[in-house]
Amino acid sequence: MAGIGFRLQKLLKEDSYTGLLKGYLFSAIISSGPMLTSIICIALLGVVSLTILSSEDYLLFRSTIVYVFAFSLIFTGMFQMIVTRYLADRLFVKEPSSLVPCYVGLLIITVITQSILGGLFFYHVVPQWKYVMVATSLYVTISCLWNTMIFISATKNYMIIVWGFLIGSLVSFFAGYYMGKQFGMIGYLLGFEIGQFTIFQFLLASLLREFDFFKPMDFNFLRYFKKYPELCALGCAINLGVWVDKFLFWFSPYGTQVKGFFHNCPVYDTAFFLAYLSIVPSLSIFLVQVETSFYHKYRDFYALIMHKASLERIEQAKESIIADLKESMMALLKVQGFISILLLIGALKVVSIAKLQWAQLFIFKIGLVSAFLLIFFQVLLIIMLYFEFRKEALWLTLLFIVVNIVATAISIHLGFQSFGYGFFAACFVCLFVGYLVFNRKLNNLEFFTFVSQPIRKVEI
Amino acid sequence: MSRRSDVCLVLEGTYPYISGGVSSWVHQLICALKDIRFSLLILLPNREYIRDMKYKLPANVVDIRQIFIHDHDLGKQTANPSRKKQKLFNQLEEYSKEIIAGNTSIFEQVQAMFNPDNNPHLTVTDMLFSRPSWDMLRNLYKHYNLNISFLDFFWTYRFSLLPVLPLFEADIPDAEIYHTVSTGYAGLIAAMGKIKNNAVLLLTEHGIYTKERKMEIAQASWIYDEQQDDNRPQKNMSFFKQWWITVFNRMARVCYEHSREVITLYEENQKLQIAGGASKDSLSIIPNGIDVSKFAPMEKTIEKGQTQFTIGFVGRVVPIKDVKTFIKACKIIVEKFPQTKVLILGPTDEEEEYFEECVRLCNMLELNDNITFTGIVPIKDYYPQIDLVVLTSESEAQPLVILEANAMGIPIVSSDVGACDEMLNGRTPEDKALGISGLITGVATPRETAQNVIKILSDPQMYNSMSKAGIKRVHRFYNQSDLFANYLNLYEKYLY
Repeated sequence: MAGIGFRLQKLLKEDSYTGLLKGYLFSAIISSGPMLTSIICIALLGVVSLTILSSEDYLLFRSTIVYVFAFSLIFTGMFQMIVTRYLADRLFVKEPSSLVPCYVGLLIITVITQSILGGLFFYHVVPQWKYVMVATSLYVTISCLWNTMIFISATKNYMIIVWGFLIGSLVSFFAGYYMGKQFGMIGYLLGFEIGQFTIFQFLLASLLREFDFFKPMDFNFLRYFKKYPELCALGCAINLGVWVDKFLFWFSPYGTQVKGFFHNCPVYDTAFFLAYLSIVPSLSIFLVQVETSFYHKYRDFYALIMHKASLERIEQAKESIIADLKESMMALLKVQGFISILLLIGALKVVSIAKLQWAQLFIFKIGLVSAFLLIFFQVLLIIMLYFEFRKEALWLTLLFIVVNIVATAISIHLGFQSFGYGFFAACFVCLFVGYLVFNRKLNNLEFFTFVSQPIRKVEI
Repeated sequence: MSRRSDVCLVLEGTYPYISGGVSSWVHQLICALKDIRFSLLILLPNREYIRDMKYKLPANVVDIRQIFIHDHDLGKQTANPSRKKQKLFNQLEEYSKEIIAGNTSIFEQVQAMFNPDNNPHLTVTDMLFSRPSWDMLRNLYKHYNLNISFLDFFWTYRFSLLPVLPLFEADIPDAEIYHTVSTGYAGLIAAMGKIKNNAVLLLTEHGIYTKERKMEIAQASWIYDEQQDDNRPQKNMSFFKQWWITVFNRMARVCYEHSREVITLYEENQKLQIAGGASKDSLSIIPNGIDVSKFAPMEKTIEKGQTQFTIGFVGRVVPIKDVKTFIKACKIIVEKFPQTKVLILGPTDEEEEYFEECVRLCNMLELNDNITFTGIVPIKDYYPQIDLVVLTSESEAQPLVILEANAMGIPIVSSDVGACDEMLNGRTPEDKALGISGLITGVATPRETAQNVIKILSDPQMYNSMSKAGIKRVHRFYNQSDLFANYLNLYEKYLY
């Protein structure tokens, strides 16, 4: 993981307040940009389209976008961790020229596989070529956008990215609004797609402009599938984990069939989407913390070992990592705790502003608590990857999926009052187990660092 | 092949794959003692060292086993030792401190901890990958208040143990006597065999293993030296160099302490053996001998006033033989006896640069008409024409050339290294009574060497008595078959 976010560190080195602020803003966009802008766009488009579209078309519009997000995340997740790792390794050996070829290679694979998958899927749902074209291109664009986010933190041109998201979002909204008026549901979808495509183009252009490259494309990163298969599984599983309860609800008796394979359960998922927005500020705070303070301590630890430090100094460096993580967690706890409690108190107000049903209030509240736990769980996973505890991270994620499926199924069975407790249980159990596992691992960091070194044959 | 043997010979990196002094000695020993059934326990660095055998194995070798001490490709492993094992680790930590302090008498208990027949016992994986092993290592680091690179500490721990651990699990041939030809890993496993089978351990050291290792370690660049940035000459070796020296010293100590007989070629080595842990009662000397039937004695004489001599230098043209001192001595000899012929008999291609320097020195001293570099030749054919043999080596053990030359009646002038003194002046009173068979000089003293050569060559009476003494001495004390008979006696003493 080391390597990604180096730019951020540089930015924050100024240590001035403005620098810090810029850093936080930027990391908010990196960590949650696509999700954030999309949810806002959809919400706004939803409000304006309600008057024009039939409820059937509106549901189709909404389901298309939700499906696009869910499945693009799950499928690109397979590449996400692998490529992140590959990129970090390349940057670590000071080979920035391999960034663009790897990016292009990844895009080619993404476009080809996702076009086929998306095309087949959407044709199966609505066999109209116009709809299939638009929905598939949106699916491919969003997939490419996720992939782009992996590379974007290596860039220096923060402003281009901020502008990209701003302009793209505006395009999404206005194009959606005007085209929707004229062409109905397809128009909304196409408008939204044009805006997302604009963001993608901005980011693509800024990457190509900034980084030198000596060959157009490179598929070397595919070797990492063999080298780190658990990273592929992990990337996919993380995204599957947070969506699997939604899928269960869609296909439960409480869900409704929109069209073909399209199911939804607005009572449940809208409340949860809204709750997820509450963790955006924390994510950005954490990103900055990790990339700056924590990363230094982390690097010091390994640098000390390599520079032949004594055991005492190595142990001190470990204690310093632990202290820093505690501090970061406390900061996160305070900020997220404050936000979550505030939202819990004002939940009624939020629900009414967002035009949710009365019945969703309770799900929104449990969603807030779950999201609160989820952010800590995700932070835990990222830190574990820093320390190369890949297997443990994968097992935790798989545990998350299992608990989420089982507990959600039970909550559906128990009825309305227990909705959301499935996801909550998954977050709670995995955070708890994860904390125990990680705590043990971290306290024994020197042991694992040294003793896990393999013994190879020595050439004499 | 695997029949019960009388004597298990334990060999580290020598016979039968690598030729050399010790290897040919081993071969001759086995050949000479036809009635003894030998098994061979051979320690090699790794499988790649198995090559064609350099010797044809005699029929009385009944069993051969090989152990590869650097052949470890363990990769990444995890170990979760049981509670019982954790207790063993606590005990081992105490034992480690004892051994580091120099008390190796607890080795039997340590061996029992690793014995695969015992339950529980410690395995390679336990020692290298487990939590208790880490704790033990950490405690030791703290116990000695170390402030040294932990990375190197950790890896030195691993690399020190890696060659030793397989020895505990090795399948050692059954035997009544374990006879090791060095200390080191061979000495350690021989001691293990002795303990396991309640047998007798014999040790024959040609060179002193720990001394050779110490010189090697002092020069090793792969061992981290915390003083390397400091350019001043160092009094003490770095921590990790001392560590390695200690490892070899402690292994040697185990071997010495368990050996019933500690044998070497000459007296000088015995001081080191005692310092290494051997008890005085166990020490004895059995020198190397030669096959006297191959070196027919011819009592040699010289004439009073003779000025034409042939002087021989037998050895490789390499720095350790100090050929340059010999050439300088020749200059002085030639001034006295201008017609002297000098033969330097031995390969010149081992260190070509040194050889060229020697040739240049001959040019400079205008000795080209006198000195001839013969290269590799059958030396036996040259002895009859040689009047005197000179050795100027900086280091030797028990050079066979002295025995060969003396056996044929040629007096010798030799530097005072290894066993040279006792070979020329006699070791025991009985031996000394035979008279001297040559003269001893200091190391790197061309003038003294030349003076001694001139002294012998200008005194026919002295020359003749040296010639006689040499022939007698070799036949009496360095007859190979007699010396192997000593081993036979030793074996028989402990076999029945």
